[in-house]
Amino acid sequence: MNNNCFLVTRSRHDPGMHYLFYWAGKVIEEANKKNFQILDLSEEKANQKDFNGRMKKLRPGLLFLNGHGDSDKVTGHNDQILIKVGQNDELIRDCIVYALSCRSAAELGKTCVSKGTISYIGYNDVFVFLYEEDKTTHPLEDKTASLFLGPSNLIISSLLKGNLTGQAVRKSQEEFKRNIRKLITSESPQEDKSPIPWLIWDMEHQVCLGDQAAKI
Amino acid sequence: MAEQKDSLDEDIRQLVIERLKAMPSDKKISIGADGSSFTSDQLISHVKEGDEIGKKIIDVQMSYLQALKTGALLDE
Repeated sequence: MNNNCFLVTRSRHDPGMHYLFYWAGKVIEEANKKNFQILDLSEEKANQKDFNGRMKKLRPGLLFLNGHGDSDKVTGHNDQILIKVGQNDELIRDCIVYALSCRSAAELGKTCVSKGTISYIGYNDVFVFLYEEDKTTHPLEDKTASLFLGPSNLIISSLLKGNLTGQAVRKSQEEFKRNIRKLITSESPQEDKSPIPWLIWDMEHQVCLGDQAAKI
Repeated sequence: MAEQKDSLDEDIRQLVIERLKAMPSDKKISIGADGSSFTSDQLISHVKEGDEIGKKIIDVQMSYLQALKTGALLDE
């Protein structure tokens, strides 16, 4: 595969999406440095019309979808449907996809792979993260959120570096485990350990469907 | 038999509530498809009500206890 077009969808219409918006910005910077052509569908542009248009016209090879979701869909700005089984799922054939959203790997990911998506990385149950209330104006400085969104971003970072899809997921899983172990073995007060169960959950529900040896 | 199950469910619910009480009040959790974020007190309310969010919280906490039991967290 040789396609350096990278499409990102990211809204920020609620506190959770606000965090994902800024953290997606970090990998966009990385992609910029590597001279990827970036299609940044942010805020109001994270809608199905713009998404469909870009997919048909520019055929990006890598997709990073940040949105709410369910087993059959991923949403965009104001929770509008961005991609849904039976609606526009065939548009992401020949792509590598990472969906940072709840549950979409359970049905949408499987369907997309059966229709020609090369690899679909996502979560087959809810994706959860903790954050610090006093850091909401500076999400990238939130050390609690970084425990979750750091391993998540590692998937895209690894793919941008030319790693295989299976390797990218392994690296993300290792990072989740490192963060979990760091909390378990630290001598910090008990309250600092509260993210552990949620980290385990995200790690265990992250999956890579389709080709494990694909790269961009 | 049904009484035993109810009692076990109640024990699990109480265990999860005690665990959630250890979560600092300045932290919130983003969970669910509607973009909601919750404080520990709000999570505890959902567990007490036994709604979908509450059931998911119990799943998460039980997964953690299971991982502790199997030692999966410390595997290299």
